[in-house]
Amino acid sequence: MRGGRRPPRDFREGEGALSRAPLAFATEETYHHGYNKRDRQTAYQHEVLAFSLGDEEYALDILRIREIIKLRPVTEVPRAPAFIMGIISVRGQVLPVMDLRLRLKLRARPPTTSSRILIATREGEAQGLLVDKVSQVVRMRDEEVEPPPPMLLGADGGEFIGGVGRPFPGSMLILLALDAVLSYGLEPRR
Amino acid sequence: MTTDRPSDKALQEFLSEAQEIVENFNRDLLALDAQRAEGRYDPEYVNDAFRAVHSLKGLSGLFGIGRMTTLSHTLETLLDSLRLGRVTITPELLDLLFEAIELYGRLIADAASGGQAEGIDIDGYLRRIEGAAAHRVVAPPAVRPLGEYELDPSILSVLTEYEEHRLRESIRAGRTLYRIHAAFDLTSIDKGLEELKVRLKPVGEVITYLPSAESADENKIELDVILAGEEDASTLERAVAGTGVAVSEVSKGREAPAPPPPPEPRRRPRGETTREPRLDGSEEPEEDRPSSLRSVSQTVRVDIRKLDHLMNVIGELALARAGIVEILEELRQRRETSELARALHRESRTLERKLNELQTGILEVRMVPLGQVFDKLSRVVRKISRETGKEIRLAISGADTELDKLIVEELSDPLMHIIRNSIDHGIEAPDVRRRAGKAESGTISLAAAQKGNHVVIEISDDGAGFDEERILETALRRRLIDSHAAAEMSRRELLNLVFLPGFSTRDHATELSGRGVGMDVVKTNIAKLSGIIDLSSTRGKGTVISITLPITLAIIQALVIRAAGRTYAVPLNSVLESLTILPGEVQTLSGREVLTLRGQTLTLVRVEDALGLARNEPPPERAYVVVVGLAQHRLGLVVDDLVGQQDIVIKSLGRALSGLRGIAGATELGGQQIVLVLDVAALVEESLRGAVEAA
Repeated sequence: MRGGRRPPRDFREGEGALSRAPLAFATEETYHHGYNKRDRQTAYQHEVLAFSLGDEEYALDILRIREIIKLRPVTEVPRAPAFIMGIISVRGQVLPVMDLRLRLKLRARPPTTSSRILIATREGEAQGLLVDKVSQVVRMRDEEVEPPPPMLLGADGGEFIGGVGRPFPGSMLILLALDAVLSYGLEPRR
Repeated sequence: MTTDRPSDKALQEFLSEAQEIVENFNRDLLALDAQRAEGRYDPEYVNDAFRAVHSLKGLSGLFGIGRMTTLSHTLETLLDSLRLGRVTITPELLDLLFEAIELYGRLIADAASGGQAEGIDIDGYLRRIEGAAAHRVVAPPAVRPLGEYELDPSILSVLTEYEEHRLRESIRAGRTLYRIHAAFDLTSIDKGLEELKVRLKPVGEVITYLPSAESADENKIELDVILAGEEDASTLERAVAGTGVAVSEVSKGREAPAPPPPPEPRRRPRGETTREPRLDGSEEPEEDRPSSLRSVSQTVRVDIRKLDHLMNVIGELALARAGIVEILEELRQRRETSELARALHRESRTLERKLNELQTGILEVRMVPLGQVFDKLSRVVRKISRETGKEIRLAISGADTELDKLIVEELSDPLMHIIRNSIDHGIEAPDVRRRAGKAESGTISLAAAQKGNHVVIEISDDGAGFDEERILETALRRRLIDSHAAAEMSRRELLNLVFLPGFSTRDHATELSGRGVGMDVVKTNIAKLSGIIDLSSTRGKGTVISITLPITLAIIQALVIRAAGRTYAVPLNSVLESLTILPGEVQTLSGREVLTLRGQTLTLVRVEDALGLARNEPPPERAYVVVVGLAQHRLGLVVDDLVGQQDIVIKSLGRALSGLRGIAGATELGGQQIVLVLDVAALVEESLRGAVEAA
């Protein structure tokens, strides 16, 4: 990941930015910038972290993402659902990591160097989500967010889709329903 | 944060303090309840209860929790009447007061969640309390006038209403009055007076103490203590021997010497505080020193999560130290740095020792006495026994045994369940007991004791005991065991069948003479705390349930093992032994691998099979068996290798995975390696169930 001090790009600022897709990597600055800028923003109701799984762009509410870390060895957990890769320890706290591809019922793919673990929270509990690549922070207005298309909802894994964001023409972000993604039952053994 | 509202932190402080005060209040009521049965009670408990409510009134007023203030104020009035003897203590009155404990609990919980207790209706309760307070006793039977005693009229004139009441009560009870004259140094009066009170406590009741008029030395304060004693003068003298105080009996009769001049008003700071409670002697002659707002208490309250965090930090420090040791090893290899390596080795040993001390220190901070949960149980026993009409005596011992705060918290539900079962199904109705030749009132005893790294809690009753024939019948009918297994079972094993899930359900509970209502839940809860529960019972004599718990959950000793290329930790408290096996030694018995160990058959379970792990390489020629035990059940876990013993800090897998059976948590072993800790209890249970299903 590039660590330069270049100003973070934002598609909403500057006219030409829109044509610059595909989305670039998010640096740590982008990420912090995303947090800090919330205070200044007025017109945008949605601030999300965009990431990719294969060719598709997904996004999660940035306030629910505690941090982004590189892939590290996970300890497998027997008897856990198949999409749980295992557990990791982040600063002394043990948390489960799921392969988001498997969770969303997409095709499995081995991690690459650009794979990242997003640490997301639900009711104070953190869990890791493995994604292929983190793109950037995107801000959207209410009118740029659509409810999930009925076609998607009916499909396998449709329960995880909270909406579709169109931050600029021709782009599409699948907004995930994080609570649904992070809650799952454990199958009893017998 | 606005300035006119107390901060959240202050509110939290208040709530935990209020909780503590309510617990003390509860203890006072329990003590009064116990003493009431004997017909007389220690007025100190009424006083303590009064003070508790008074403090709650003041504190809740400060935090604007109006309902708590109103409740406390009303209770205060009632308790004041109680201590002044205007209202007598009856079981109904105590019932009413016990209700206040529940109300306080709800008010505190509501305030903790940010409410203002608007939704909690206390008005009905307040009216009943007011009614009780209005129920005054008619004037006490005539007592010989106090004037008959040779008491200094100047003393009599400054007695508070309460003190006068106690004085009259004591005279009526036929106790002897003593005057104890003591001189204290100005600087050490607090300590000296406290010491004197401790010495006097066993021999009588201190009615009052007043500065003496006869004081000669400017640097001394002389006090006259009026004591109502049960003992004779010589016992009293022995009690205060060596303190340099003078004891004299206050005799009856009118030939009193001329009263000394009244004492200087300056030294009577308490004269005008006729109603406010006096917390202790330290408030006494304070006027010579600048007043201070420092609190008397030397304790701090800490959120347990902060301690968890510190434990994590210590864990990380230990990992950092492991890193240093690795570097140290490398330095040792090189000749030019071997001198440095030795020095570093010494320092790292010191670091290790200090880390251990730190860890022990934090563990100690987490310890709380079991009395906290026992007190709650006393209230439950009282309530249930009044509901069921069975007379129950609860005998408690070892309430000062300490356990990790988290364990104590988790214990109250299982213990409550056991006791409820004991009263509902164990203790017989009074007439049945009489026919059986037993005392009409049943006894439940709660005993706790520390045994090494464990704490054993025994709950025993002298009730009807379990009927093992009916247990067997039920277990067979529910197909929890087959008749083969049943034939081989010992009595104890049979009794412990009640802990099996599915042994009984709520619907069937009544058809059993024993208990069994949700005993599997009790067992699961205890197993979650790494505890073991065992039951023994004699028909007609009673039942003993013993619970063995580790002192702390934070750090446990574990055996680190390897199986199918993975590393796991097994809590050492469930490991009985470990041994090597060669392939030829394993036999099969109806499809299951077994080992004959000292003439007994030990069922074997391969860790990879139990956990459903894929094995990439073939199992080693020589394997190991870790024999684990849960109550009377033994199981041999077959593993590839034993790595060694280690102290581990056990961590939860997080809420999402907390329901996984067979895994108790995770731990870091150094070098950033996380391994899972196996839940032996669950594995043994699964294997037992497997055996039943296979048969």
